[in-house]
Amino acid sequence: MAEKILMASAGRTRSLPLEGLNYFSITTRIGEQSLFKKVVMPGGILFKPGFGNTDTLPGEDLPAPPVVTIPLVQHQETPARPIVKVGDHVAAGQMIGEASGADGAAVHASVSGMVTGVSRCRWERNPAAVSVTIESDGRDEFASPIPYDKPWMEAEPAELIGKIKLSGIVDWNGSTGVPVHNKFAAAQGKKADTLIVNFLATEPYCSAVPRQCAGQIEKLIAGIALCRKIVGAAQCVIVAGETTHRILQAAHKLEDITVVLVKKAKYPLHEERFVARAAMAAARPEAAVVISAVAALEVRAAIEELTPSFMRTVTVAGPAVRSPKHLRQVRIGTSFKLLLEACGADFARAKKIVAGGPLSGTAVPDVEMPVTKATRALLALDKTYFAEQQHPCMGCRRCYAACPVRLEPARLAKLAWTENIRELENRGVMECLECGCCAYVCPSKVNLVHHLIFGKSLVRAGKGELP
Amino acid sequence: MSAPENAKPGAPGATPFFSVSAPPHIRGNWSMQDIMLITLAAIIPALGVSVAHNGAYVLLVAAVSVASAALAEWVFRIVAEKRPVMIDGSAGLTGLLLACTLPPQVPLWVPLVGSVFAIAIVKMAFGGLGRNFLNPALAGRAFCVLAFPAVFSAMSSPHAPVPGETLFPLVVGYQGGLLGGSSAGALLLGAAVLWGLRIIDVTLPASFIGSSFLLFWLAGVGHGPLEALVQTCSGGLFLGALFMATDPVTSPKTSIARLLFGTGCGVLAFLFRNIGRAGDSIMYAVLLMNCIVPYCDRYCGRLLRRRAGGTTL
Repeated sequence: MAEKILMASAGRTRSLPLEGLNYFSITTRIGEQSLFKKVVMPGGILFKPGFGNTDTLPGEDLPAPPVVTIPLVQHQETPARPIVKVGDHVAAGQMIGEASGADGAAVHASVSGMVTGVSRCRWERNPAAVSVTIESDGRDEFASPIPYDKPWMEAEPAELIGKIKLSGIVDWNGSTGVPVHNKFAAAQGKKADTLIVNFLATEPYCSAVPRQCAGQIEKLIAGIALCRKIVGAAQCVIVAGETTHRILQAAHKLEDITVVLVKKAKYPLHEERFVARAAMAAARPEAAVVISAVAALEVRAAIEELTPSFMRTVTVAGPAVRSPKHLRQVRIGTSFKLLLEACGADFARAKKIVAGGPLSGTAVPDVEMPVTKATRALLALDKTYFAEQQHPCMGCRRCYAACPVRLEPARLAKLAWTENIRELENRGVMECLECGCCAYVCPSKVNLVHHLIFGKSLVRAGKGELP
Repeated sequence: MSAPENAKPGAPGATPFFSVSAPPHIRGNWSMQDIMLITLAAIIPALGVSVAHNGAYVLLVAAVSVASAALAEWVFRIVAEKRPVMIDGSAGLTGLLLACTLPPQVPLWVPLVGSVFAIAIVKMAFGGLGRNFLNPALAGRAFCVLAFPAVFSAMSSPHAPVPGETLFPLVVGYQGGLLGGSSAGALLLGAAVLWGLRIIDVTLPASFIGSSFLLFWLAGVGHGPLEALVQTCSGGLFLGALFMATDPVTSPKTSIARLLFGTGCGVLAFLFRNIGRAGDSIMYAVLLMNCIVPYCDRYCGRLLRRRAGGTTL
């Protein structure tokens, strides 16, 4: 995983030539003289201002649900191993799944109560993935954490990383989820000198993350300081959008943190690789590690309060939701139905339920599916929005211009159709982020992402990675 | 929504089932019809110039061409493919482009035959929109040139002893020439709109026009750049470079391949005009290059893909 989370700066300072519309970012250094720099990047989508803007929605705490179903696979890698059995009594925050493998992450109970089922997770394709069902006893007791031998301020980074590993924090920057302890261990190995904190949420309806951070700015800054200490990063860069930037400016506690303000952020800019590139506007790191703001918050909670990661802030919105809200303190494992009902979703009108944003989210067949660590938003759409392909591809190249990783979506789709695995791999289908930009701009409404996902699975199957 | 266990979907009180599909769950507003209609509109300035110089008969030629192209597509779909007709506007565009490549005083049956050949044989028989390997309008014209050579031999062009006096009519339009290709200025205006809306790019037309201009200049050493410019603006080169070569279906997709394609068109246009029959040089240049588009695309990947995708070490 080291290759995925670290990036080198050498020779990567030149901006890319223009292709399609471009976004630019302007950097300011808070407390010092402002500096302006334009960063040009290819592809992406610039939505109309206000489209899917959920910044001003009210927030509400969701009470602990009566039943939670917690899948023991919370990111793409190895599922956790269950360490509880049916009939056990667990407290909220007690570990129920042990991290297995090099890139696993621990999973914790999100309510206190009785374990009523440890069964195959029916939403996951991996047969090794199990989910644990816990029936709440209503008391919502929290587990007593394992205390430190000495005050945590004196602890070595390695020990702190161990604590983080026990907390099972998974860092979602866009489409990839990586356990934070793996990131930090790799960063130490590479001697990363820069910590990049990602505050961006460029997808419509997905403003839960900046919203969650806005309320806890002091804790957040403490979390960032902790992460810096663990990584041993000399400099720290925050990449933020305009809303978050205002909040950060009001905080006035960022002595040696550089803030990169991204104006007119195009859609997949919140992906880790683009955040890293935006940070280049302010810093020239030898090696850097990117973490999301939510991960920084959870790192602080894990180290100072010994609280593991089992809650999320989720935006519930969409045309079929009567009172859209940011739901706070949503327990991992709560069924989507509960969230939707809390926001007055009209199930008769809703035709499609999407976990995540409208461009990269997953359409769920069943509202009983649980919230996971990846859930940022929940949308109830009133049309199926199933774009039937209207015309054949005529090669207008709009998908080429929209692709943020400069692939050839239309060509890859045709190659996937003909199952040309070697050519698919040569043309980089595995680099596809599944961000949905290509299919969004397609005038023929070709289901390009569908084809690309199929192409990726063909390549993986060809390598024997899939059963 | 308290649903009983195993309730039938659709039964009152049952949890409804939701549709599932791959992302994205929203789509952009551009449709195929938009692109086709805007391209149609972009030809109108050139057509207007032709009407001003050659009279309203030009409009009749265009109307016959468009109508017969649309009809040919409709009949082909009903009779041969047995599929419902989709109105995407591409047949009309092919018809109009074909009309633009004909002489203004052409008999009406020439655009009719040309359109039917372009749509039924060149486009539909190869699988319809997006699957034809030749530009249908140019292939339709090629058919007409071979079948009715007399119609095309009467084409006129503005010739004057001083190149400077010829250049002005070439840019703003003159009587005769090609129906839609007699005004480089009007064509550029339309193409600028298309470029502004990102329907065509600059690389391909610029390399086409630039390479042929350079070759005309270098080949006619004593005559200077003005003579080369006259050569470049005449004989439908702008029509071919801005509207025919940029046809999305039959042009390469990556920038580097488009550069190669445009340059190849320019070189061939120069060769055909100087060595072969001057009147059809652009047409054959574009048609020949159309044939090697799959190879252009196969061997030219996207520039800087690794750089963009490989930010993470």
